[in-house]
Amino acid sequence: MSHVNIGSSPFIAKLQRNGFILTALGALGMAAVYFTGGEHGLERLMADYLIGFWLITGISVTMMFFSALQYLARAGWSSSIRRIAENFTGFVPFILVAAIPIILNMFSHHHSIYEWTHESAATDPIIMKKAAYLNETFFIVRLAIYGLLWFGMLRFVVGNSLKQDASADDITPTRRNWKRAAPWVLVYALTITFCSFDLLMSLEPHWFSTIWGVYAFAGNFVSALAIITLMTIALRKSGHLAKYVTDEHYHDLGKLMFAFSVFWAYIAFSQYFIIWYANLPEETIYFTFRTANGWQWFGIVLVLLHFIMPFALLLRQDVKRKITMLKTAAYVILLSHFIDVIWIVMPAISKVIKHDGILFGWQEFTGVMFFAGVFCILTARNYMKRSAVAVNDPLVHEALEYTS
Amino acid sequence: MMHELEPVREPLVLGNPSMRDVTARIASIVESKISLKYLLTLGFTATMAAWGLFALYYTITTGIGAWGLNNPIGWGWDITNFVFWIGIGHAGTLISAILFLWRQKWRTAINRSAEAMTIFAVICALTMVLSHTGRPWLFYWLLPYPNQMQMWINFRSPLAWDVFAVNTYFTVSALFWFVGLIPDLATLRNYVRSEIAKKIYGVLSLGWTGSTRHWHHYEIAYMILAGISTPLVLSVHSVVSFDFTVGIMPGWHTTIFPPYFVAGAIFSGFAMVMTLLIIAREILDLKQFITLKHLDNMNKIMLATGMMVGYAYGMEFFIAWYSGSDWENWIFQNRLFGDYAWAYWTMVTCNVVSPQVFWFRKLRRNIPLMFVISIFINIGMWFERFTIIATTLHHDFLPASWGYYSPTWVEISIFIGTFGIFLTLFLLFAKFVPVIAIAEIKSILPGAQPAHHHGHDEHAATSSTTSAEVHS
Repeated sequence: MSHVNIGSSPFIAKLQRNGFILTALGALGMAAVYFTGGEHGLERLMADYLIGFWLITGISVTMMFFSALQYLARAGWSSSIRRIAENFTGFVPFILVAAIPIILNMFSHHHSIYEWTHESAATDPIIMKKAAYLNETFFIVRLAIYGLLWFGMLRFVVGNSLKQDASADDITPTRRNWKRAAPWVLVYALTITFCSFDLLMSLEPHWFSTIWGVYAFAGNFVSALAIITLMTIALRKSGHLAKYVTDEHYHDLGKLMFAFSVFWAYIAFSQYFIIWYANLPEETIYFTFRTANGWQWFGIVLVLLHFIMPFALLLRQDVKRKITMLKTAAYVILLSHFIDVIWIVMPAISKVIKHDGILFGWQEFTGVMFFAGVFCILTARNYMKRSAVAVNDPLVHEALEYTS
Repeated sequence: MMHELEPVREPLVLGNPSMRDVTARIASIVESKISLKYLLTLGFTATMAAWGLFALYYTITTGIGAWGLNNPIGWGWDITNFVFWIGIGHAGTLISAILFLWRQKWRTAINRSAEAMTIFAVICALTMVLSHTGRPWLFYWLLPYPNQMQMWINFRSPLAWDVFAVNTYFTVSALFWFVGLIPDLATLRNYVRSEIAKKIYGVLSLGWTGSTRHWHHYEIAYMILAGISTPLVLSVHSVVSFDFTVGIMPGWHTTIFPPYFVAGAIFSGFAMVMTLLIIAREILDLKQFITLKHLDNMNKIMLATGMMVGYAYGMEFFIAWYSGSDWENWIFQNRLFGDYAWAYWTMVTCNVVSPQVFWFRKLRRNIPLMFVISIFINIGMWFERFTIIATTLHHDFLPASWGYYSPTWVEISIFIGTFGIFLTLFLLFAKFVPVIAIAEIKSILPGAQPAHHHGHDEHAATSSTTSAEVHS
């Protein structure tokens, strides 16, 4: 089958243009955060940068996981939309570059957002015990390892999917992915876990939770699904995927979003409930601050937007085939994921800069705008370079004729 | 354009049988004469069950003191066995409900027997949990009912949540299983020769005629029950994990427990399904339906869930160190090197190391090997629960209350007895109920699906035994 080249379409041009606008606005906004922030301008800037960095890194990496998972499961239904996820991985090679400001910030001792890099940490009896893990050198080494492994995953999993575009008769690249997707899924599980420990959990260096990696996965996966859904709808609506996407795909993406927003709620509830019930001070520090001083509204909004709304919106069968409802649910999920990350990061920053109240304003939108813009530009770039559909995937015919 | 994808999409039913062949093949198991071998096996498992019931009788008349429990260790084999059996009961509903929602057609060959195992395993779990209360004749004290004295159960106790979680699970699983059975019971009603059997299957099939209307309602009911069962698969073992986590004992209280327990439950459940199905497919000659492809898929799931369990072990360990909590740290070192290190290493070897062989396709299709590994996993998952319970309890916070626990013959006998109950019920099921969902298997035969493009076989296409094609 012939490739689906939509790189020169108005839709992709618009995506790229909006990407540039968002990036520019985000960059200007971040500069404003720094200059209006006074004494703690740098911490605020770095916190907002981290929010954007984590959101886009997590989602980009999870897009590779989505692709690997489809190969692992030999999924036929998704073979015509799998490339949509793969085209969202453009940020992966730049993760390490984008991490440099976070690393540099760790050495600006008084202004680092990571409390364990402060001089006071050297005498903190709890942080001292973790010094073998929480130290600058090992942190940088770990980030480098994640970045390199993710780059390897990109080259292998997405790379083989792209190689399959060359020929329909020789399915060696696909076979390679069928065979090797599983170890990459394992790599993903471990890297996303430890990366979430390093970037997010260590913002509160006294605190710990064994489920944290699963929590990070759940939020990223449901957000990745929401983005895939939005893109699938947009591309089909503009006529580009008419031949490849059917209502059945909407239905299945809707089911997945439904399932994984419930999964997120399950994991979030498990974490909250077990800590709340046992009421041990070393664990409750995380939630006591986040359920007071105005932060409690974030928690309540999360229950509503990250769980109840998607649940109520997507429960019915027919709704999963209706574009408006599906889009609403996807936007709600993305918004709630953003709120979730703010709720994780910002209260920790309040503690670092000795600020008791809520720390939330226009500033928190700048980092995510910048990174979302970069994400859009790199995605548009991928559409300009390659086919929008894995047309030669040996299972693609199944995607065209299946019923969900 | 289209590829020959023989290795990717293997047929799920071998030998290209017609719909009539399928009915005949599976119903003939029910119709066949009871063999001496079957009776001997049944006698053996029933004796095991009777022996367990005797030990239970001994416990009730003597008191829990008949067991090896002692002061620091108030939970031993009783709760270990309870969690073990409840865990086994998870694969059935996962296969029936979650794989149904995921449209995994290979489930049709194994869902019936896996779900039967679920129900039998939950019965065993209930036996264990009732016996551990000490005075099981007062079991109704666990239920909240209006009474003159205004005495209510403690709703804040996870043990009370267990009562609701397990009973709900049992009820819904049994209903789901029975609803799925109705068309097949009707098939048997039409098939068997004995008048009495006809009557019994007739009553049980609730007047099923196979009309389109019946199928339509059946599909809706099945879908709704699958939807209700899916969260139950996750909730039951999560609630069981709360028995441990909401306490503040080091080694018990950790946030990953709910998903970790669910993954472990599915892991152990698949192992048990595997063990029994390998035997059943040999003896009942079901190789045509339960193919190597099915076993391969199940091995993959065991590898995946085994890795999830391994991930949880790793997280517990890492965070025990990372937390900086001396208690947590110590309890995990004690697991590795303490009095129960042998149990811990048995668990790791069986659960994390042994399933690694399933990375290789050749080994995933090696029946003797997978049989051995499935038994390893059963053993390992039992030891997982034992490790969690015993290592945390045996060294209490004060060295004065340190102890060691070994079971007495009574506990061992009760455990053997639960296996007796489980196997006896399974044997009865295998003889009197269609072990494979006849109607569902028909729906995946070549030609049964209206949109199917390949391999139209005239024989199958013209056969009109039932309107099974409705089942899509």
